[in-house]
Amino acid sequence: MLAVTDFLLPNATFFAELVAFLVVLGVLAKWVLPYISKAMAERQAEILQGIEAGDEGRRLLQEARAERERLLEEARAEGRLIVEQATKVAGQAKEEILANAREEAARLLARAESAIQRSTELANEEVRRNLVELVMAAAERVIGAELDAAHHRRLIEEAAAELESSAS
Amino acid sequence: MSGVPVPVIASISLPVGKFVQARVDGFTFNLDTIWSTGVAALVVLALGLAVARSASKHVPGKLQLFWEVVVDAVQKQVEQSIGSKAGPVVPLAIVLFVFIFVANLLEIIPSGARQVALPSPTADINTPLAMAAVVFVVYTSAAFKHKGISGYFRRYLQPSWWLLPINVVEELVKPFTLSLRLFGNLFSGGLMIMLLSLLPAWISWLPTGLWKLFDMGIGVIQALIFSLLTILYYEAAVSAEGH
Repeated sequence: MLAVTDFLLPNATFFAELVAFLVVLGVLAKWVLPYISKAMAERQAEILQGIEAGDEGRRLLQEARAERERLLEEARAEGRLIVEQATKVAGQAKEEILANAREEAARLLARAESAIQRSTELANEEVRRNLVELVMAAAERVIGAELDAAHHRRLIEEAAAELESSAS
Repeated sequence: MSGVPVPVIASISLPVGKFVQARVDGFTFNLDTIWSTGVAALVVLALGLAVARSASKHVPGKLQLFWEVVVDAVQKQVEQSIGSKAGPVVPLAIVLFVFIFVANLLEIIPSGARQVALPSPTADINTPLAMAAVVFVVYTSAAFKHKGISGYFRRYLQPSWWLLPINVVEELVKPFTLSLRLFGNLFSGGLMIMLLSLLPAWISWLPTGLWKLFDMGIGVIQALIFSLLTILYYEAAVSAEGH
């Protein structure tokens, strides 16, 4: 059988409980919770710091990548410029070499032509001289008498000149 | 003695609402409640001071983790509902939760068939009422501080003057509902354990054990409700439109 008492009515225990709870509340609020909150706040700050450091690292990495791309682009542009300049210089050198070669060839050709001309003239002179001598020798044999050499030479040269002019 | 156990049970008088009492100058004290409260207080203080002494900002231990979970949950709840006007409600709600939690757990400690060695102090109306009184004083003083005396009394006339009696009753009844809810749940839990202890010993361990497991959950939930309602009452007291 359940005993019915006045257990729903508070008594002086209320004050003892009040004091006990206030003591617990005071001690925890003053000497416990601030330390726990402090540890939590410091940990949170460290985590945030780590996140910020990570963000900073990512930012630096992105900057380094951008700088690398920029340098690579500069190097590519510089390379292209160098190749263009080299191509241009090579073209100029080629033109210069070709011009020199042409000039040298023309000079050599002119010299060769001059030499040929001289050789031709010498050969003609030689032929002419030999011809005179042959004619004279032939005439001497034909007429059997020695002619005035100087006179005949002159006649023959005139005849040769006429032959030559008619031939040309 | 032969016969079915029913008459035996019917002849037993359960010690419902009976306490080991002492009278000092005409005042009655429930000594077993005070003793249990002292044990709960010592446990809470020991747990708190142990953590405070070794609180680390690095990897927390299990005990520190428990405290941090409670502190974090209360802080978030207060920030969401109250914001910058939090004031003393954060430590109050934290201490209420931990103290009630530990006090409720005392009930499940095996301490005799009739649970007389270490009863849960929250199963005595004095303990919940004392805590509710602290809560009432805190949120009422906060309301005076944030709204002023005229603002505090003006809210009893909102939204219309003829609602004054209802508003007054609603305000006065808050600490009683707060304390009776906790008391009722824990008292009935203790009553159930006493009833189950009347079963034969060879079978009583099973339902008693199961009930104590269930009672653990009840204890946690009731601690949470008491703490949460404290925050809500405080929020209503300091908010501009709250009542």
